Amino acid sequence: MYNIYNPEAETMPKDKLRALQSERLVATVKRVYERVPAYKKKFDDAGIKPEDIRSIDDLSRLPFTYKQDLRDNYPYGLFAVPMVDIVRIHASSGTTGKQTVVGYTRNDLKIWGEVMARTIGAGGVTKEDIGHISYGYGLFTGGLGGHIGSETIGCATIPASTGNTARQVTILQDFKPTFILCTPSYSLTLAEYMAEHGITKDSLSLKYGFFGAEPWTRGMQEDIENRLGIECFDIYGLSEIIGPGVAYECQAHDGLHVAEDHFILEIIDPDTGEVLPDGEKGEVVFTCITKEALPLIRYRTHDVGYKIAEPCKCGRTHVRIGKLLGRSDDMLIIRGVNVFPSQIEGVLTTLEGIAPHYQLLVDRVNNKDSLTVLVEMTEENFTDEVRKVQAMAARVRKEIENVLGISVTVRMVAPKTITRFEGKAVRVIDNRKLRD
Amino acid sequence: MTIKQLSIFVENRVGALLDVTSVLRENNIDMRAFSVAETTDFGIVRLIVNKPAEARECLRASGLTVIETPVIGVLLKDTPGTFHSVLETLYKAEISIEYTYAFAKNSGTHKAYMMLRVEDTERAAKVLAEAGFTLLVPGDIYEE
Repeated sequence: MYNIYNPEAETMPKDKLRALQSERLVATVKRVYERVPAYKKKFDDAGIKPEDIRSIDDLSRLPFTYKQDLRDNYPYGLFAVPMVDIVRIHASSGTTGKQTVVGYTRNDLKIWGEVMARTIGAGGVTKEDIGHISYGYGLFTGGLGGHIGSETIGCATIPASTGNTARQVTILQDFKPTFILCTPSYSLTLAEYMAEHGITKDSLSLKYGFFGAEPWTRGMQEDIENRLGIECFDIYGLSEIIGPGVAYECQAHDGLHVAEDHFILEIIDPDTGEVLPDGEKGEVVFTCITKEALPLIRYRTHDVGYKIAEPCKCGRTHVRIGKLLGRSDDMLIIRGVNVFPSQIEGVLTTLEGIAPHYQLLVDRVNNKDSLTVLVEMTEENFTDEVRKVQAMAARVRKEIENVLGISVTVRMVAPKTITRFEGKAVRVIDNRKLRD
Repeated sequence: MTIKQLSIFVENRVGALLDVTSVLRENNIDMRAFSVAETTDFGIVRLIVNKPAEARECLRASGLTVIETPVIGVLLKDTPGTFHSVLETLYKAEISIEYTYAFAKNSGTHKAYMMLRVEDTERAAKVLAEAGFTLLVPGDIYEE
């Protein structure tokens, strides 16, 4: 049996769902046009009047919203409600330029709790469970997003936040949480700490893990499942839309269901802006149709994914996004070939005895791009014979080259030399940018 | 008859060997033999110490990748052709050698040993002993 938190919403018949989306979209478009000057200008420039949008079929006529729009209207310019109605502010880390500020009304928080409850409920979590939230609490939406979902279900919720791995492991052992939310790379940090200190997975009570905020692969998922003895679920979200809870994996483990009664999914060609047919890879675009504070219209996420329209075994009617391939921003173009770090990770996790920790160094040598993959040498796969170590590196190189179709250099490095943060792992160092 | 050698993975960068030697010094571990196999990208440090288990633990704790490898130490008489007859004995027994390095035990005694890493350590030790060679025993170097 598949666990469904809100069967009425999540298994709503397609036609009814579509009618609901249309009704909500029309109302949202009208509201942003009236209340957000930046949207009024955007629509006017595109020659679109709110009354032109009569159903979801008209969605593609609307202009896109870009991250730059949030920066241009920093901090509160795109809010569709007066500040007095805002009860929460979050902001993205902002690796380039200003951080992106988002706001929530009380009702927005209720929606967030609902979609995050669906997210962890889809893994089998009920109010009997105990939740360990190991995303950062603060401006980042991960911590409080996981928190609100866990509390909405009615779980005892541990706001562990990030950092202090030793203490996290003690909490996992002593407080007996049955599920955990963190980044996939942090779950491996926890597993490594446990292995180093002789702590077995049997001493924990964990059953499920919900991981997101950075791309990860099926292979890494299996690795985490084996090392922590849990069933893993992929979760997806971004602060501009609501935070985690936008889409989530169910127990069928075949794509992530979008909470379609709140967010409309489109997959577009990032170059032309055209909506792509189901199944084709492209940029993920969301439109918020229930949010009050920041209802973004056709927001360009820069994430790359594809739409799975076929019905899911779990009974949910909501459309799925195929495993996200990474951010279009993370995509590297190496000698004209598109390379996603997640592809390399996918190769490493299928090779026996290879640690899933890696880093990509991109450089330009003699006007030619070079890609070096640093792979950690662990005790399990270390032999003291030079030729065997070299053979291992050669095997990794061959497998990666098969997948990417370009030549790479593989260098084995000592463990823990690869930068590892308790939040997101630094996977790519592109030195080409420094030499423009 | 086999000796515990520690093999350490080091990257080919400035200071990599210092990472190893500083741990040994801090923990008062005596190095008896030292050899490095190097490539353009990485090296493998091979060590024989007076406290192998303790050394392995502290090297590991400092973040290095360390494994234990069994090797054989053969006493070489100071006459021409001795090492040749060691190799010949192994050749006749069809045992191939992965690598070898020299090792002088206790200054003053003038005794030289060759350390050998072979594919079949137990059998190699047996044929060398039967051929009359003196092998290092663990008690010569460390307490077990």
